Amino acid sequence: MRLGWFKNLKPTIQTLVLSGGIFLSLTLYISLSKYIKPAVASLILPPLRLCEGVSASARQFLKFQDLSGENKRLNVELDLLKVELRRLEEAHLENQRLRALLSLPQQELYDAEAALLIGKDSSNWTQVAIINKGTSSGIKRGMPAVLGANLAGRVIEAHPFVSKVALIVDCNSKIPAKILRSREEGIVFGTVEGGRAICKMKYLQGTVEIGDEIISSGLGEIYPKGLSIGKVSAVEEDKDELYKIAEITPAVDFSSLEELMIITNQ
Amino acid sequence: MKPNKLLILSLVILFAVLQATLLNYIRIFRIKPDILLLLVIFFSFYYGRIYGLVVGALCGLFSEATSAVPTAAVVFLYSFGGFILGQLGRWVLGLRALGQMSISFIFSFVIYFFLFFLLQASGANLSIFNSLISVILPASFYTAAVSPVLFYFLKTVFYIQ
Repeated sequence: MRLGWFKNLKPTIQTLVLSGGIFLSLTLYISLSKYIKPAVASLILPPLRLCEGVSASARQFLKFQDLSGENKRLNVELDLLKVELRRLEEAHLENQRLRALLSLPQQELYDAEAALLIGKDSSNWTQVAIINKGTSSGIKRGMPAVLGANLAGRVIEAHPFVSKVALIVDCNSKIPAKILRSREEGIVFGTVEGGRAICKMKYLQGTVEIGDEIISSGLGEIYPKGLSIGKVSAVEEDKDELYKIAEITPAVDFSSLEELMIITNQ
Repeated sequence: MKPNKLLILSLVILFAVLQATLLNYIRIFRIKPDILLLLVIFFSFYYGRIYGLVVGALCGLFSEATSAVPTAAVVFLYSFGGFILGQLGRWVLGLRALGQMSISFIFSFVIYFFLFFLLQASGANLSIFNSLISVILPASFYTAAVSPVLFYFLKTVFYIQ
């Protein structure tokens, strides 16, 4: 790098010039990050997609020998689900009739966009999934990400062809939640503990039991109501604390996450 | 010999992609080595403080593009760290694998420690004890452990004796 002029300066001036340069660059970066981040993301998008393609092919090849057994298992599961579907259809019709009788508004169904994971967080601190869909597919910042009926996270950055989803176990996530059995409300947050990224729930009072299901409460209008977050796996007893804490095993297995659904019309 | 700038940029992109994809398969207790940080250490050691600063800023940019850390936190720490490490001079060149691992460990530890405070200041749910046991120490050890192999690869790429 041609830095002859810089090397001729006195050490004090060198330090001042460098400090000023770093400060100015960082200020510029922060104010222009809206434009810089998509540009950087688009640079690594093609190799990320290539890597995901190779990895998906390898996974498919390895799974190939188990297909026959899996097919039998899925057929049995399909029969059971058909019975369950019939039962749910009846319950849905009954629910519609009862709602009409009580004059309650009909609950809307969500539109969702399926997206494949093409990368995971590069740092050891946060829990982020990089997906192959962006603003060109209608995805916007703040949209919730689900897997089935389970809450997985929230879109924190949406670029034209790629987005970042902060998972519920991320140390920055905070989700208004409630206990399904007792309707007790609290806040679910992600944290790092004992070498694992886990979820915990902070609540004021009430009895929480191991195995209790935790669902999103819908407060704050970021996450839809009624999505499963996980089940209580431990309860921390601390008499000095104002709040009580329960440890939650997430309903989504984040270690084997391959795709996500982004709710686009909440 | 000065390194090719295009080669540096390509290496940063390659390492950023590997960090977000393949390294997820060698996680131990959720932790993976930080090869972007090792790239900063390598350029600071072998090419001095200005290369440390520039490569640090580039690696920070790509690291932030694939994570949820506060904007400019990693760019600042990597570039400033690269600059400081570059001040140490080329005496590090004479170090054997264990010496390189020790320097990598100390540098990773310091960077991760400062990153913890920046994350906590931005409102992350992290405690110092759990972060030290679950992230800072294991990540620093793991990063240091892979440093001799990575430095050997980079020395081969840049024809360093």
